[in-house]
Amino acid sequence: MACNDYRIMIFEYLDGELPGEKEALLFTHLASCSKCRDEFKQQSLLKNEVQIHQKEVSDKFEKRVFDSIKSENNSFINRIVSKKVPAYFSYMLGGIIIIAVLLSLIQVGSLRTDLNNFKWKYELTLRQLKYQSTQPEISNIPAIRIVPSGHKL
Amino acid sequence: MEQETLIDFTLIYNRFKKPLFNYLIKILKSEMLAEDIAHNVFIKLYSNLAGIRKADRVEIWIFTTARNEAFGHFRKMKNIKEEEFSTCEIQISTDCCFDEYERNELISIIERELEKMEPAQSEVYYLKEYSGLRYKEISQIMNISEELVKSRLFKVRQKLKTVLTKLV
Repeated sequence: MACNDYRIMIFEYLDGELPGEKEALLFTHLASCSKCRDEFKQQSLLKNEVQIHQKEVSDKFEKRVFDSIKSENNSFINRIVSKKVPAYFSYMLGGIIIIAVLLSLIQVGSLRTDLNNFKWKYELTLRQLKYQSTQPEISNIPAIRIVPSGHKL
Repeated sequence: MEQETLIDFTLIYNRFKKPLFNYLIKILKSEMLAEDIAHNVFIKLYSNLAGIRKADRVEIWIFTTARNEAFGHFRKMKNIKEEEFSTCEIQISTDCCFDEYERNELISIIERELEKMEPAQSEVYYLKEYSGLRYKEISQIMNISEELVKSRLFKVRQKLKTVLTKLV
């Protein structure tokens, strides 16, 4: 393995990602290679400096986060939604919803039948009226006198 | 149940507040914005805690959400750049602060170099150094391969080492 490969192992080791079995290999190489040893020291120092210089979160920020959470917990909707309900209640509610849906489907079905009946009767009435309007009036038909035979007019 | 959620949240909050805050400062270059976005992330975390209870997923969730929020902010603000905030006052005195001054200088140099690099490269570095996430987790957050994560980290560290070596 070349020094470049060991350099990658140095980074993996400092990142806590180097498998345990490779650590021995790395340190054996570092014992004999001054360049890689220097690389290890420099990268280790760099990593430590960056870690040390992390800013702390202010108390004001913490207060802000926890105040927001408290106000969210106290909101009306949250109080209702977060209430524990027993399991049987959910099953009952589900059953009621299913029955309500079935009933409404039946109602819709019977309503449709009523509508169809109404439509049929309406069309029949219209046809009757149309037929009657095409028939001549009986008063216009000349009266036919039935005269018995042998009788003089 | 509410109490349990609050306890879980507090534990997670205490573990990630510093790494998240520092990561956001590096990405957003503004302490104020970093606070706002970190606040939003923690509030969302609290609301969704039941769904992300698996311990190994919390880190990924937190940093993915933070990243999305930060990039959402960038999209809104477009090219507005915040003035760099001053991290701390450098006090030079006859006491022990020469080391402290050198340290602050070193960090300033590191930050300047990181700003010059491509955002994709520096972001991997920030995620690794400030959040302590594993390569696999960083690859999931950034939607890149693990090999690419390692490669970018390697390049960033080599560049930083080159710059620092020149200064010495």
